[in-house]
Amino acid sequence: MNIEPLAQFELKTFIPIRIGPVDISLTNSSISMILATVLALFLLFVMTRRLRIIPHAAQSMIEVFYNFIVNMVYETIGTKGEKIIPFIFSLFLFILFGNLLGLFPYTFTFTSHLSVVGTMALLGLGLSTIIGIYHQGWRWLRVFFPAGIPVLLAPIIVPIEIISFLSKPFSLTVRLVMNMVVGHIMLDVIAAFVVALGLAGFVPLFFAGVLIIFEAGIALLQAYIYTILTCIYLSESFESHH
Amino acid sequence: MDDREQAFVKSKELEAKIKALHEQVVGKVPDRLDRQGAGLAVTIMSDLLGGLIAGGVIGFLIQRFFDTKPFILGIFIFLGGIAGLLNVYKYVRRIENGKNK
Repeated sequence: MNIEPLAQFELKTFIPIRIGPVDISLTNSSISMILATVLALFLLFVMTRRLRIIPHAAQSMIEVFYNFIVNMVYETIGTKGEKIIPFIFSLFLFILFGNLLGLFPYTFTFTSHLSVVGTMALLGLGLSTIIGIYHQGWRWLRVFFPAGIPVLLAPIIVPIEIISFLSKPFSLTVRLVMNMVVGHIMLDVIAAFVVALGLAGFVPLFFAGVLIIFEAGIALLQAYIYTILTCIYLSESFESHH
Repeated sequence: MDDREQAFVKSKELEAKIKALHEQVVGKVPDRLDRQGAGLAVTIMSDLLGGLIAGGVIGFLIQRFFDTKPFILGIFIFLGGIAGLLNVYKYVRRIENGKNK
């Protein structure tokens, strides 16, 4: 029996669509993204219907998530970060639903693809640059040459700081993609053993069950880590460097 | 400081008071950071890796664009490694600052 743990990450085109040189085909990845977005919006809509001062179970559940993000933004950026709470909350829900949806059979984990996660990280980098220039003007460029460093060291410090700034989307992307890919490869390999071992397959089945629960935890933790690190990177744009 | 910031600072003070009282009654609760050791390790590792990749990509692009010798790539990978270390240092310093608050 062939075990191909990487086959699950292959893109499959369902409906080919092309506009000029741009390929916007509906693939398993884009369908999963649409599904995650629709599901998140639908749940938010259903759970926030008939809002009460003393929340019902569904409302309090969504409030827990929302407060969690609001607190995260307040703790990392402060009250001036209020305007980006919708962005951070959407980012968190998109990644969380992407990670969790990928755990179901026949679905596709789009958070395991560099192109998807990388684009989100670049969005964060672009936003942090825009916010920095908006808040501090061109003084924001001081982040590449912090105060108190001798001018003689500028030729060394400035390239390092620029690479350090540009490396943030890479580290964000690598972390999430690595976690998702490794988790799904492990699940695939163990699941293949369940079939291959016949009657003794219940042993790997037990492990696969435990691993699924573990992966669900990882899905939540990674969505949290991705969002809090984006907050930390964005917080540097709000701080002034004099 | 506006009203919202004051309210936020007050709520944090209250939280600290509750935590202190809670510790008196049930004993010290392990810090959140201590429980997230594995998460911290992955964060640090990907920061180091991210620096190297960013340095490599920038070096490669410069080398391709200006058609220079490969030593530019080497220099940028080296700088990327230092940038990764700098990111880890900034991250850890942030956690330390948060702990001392």
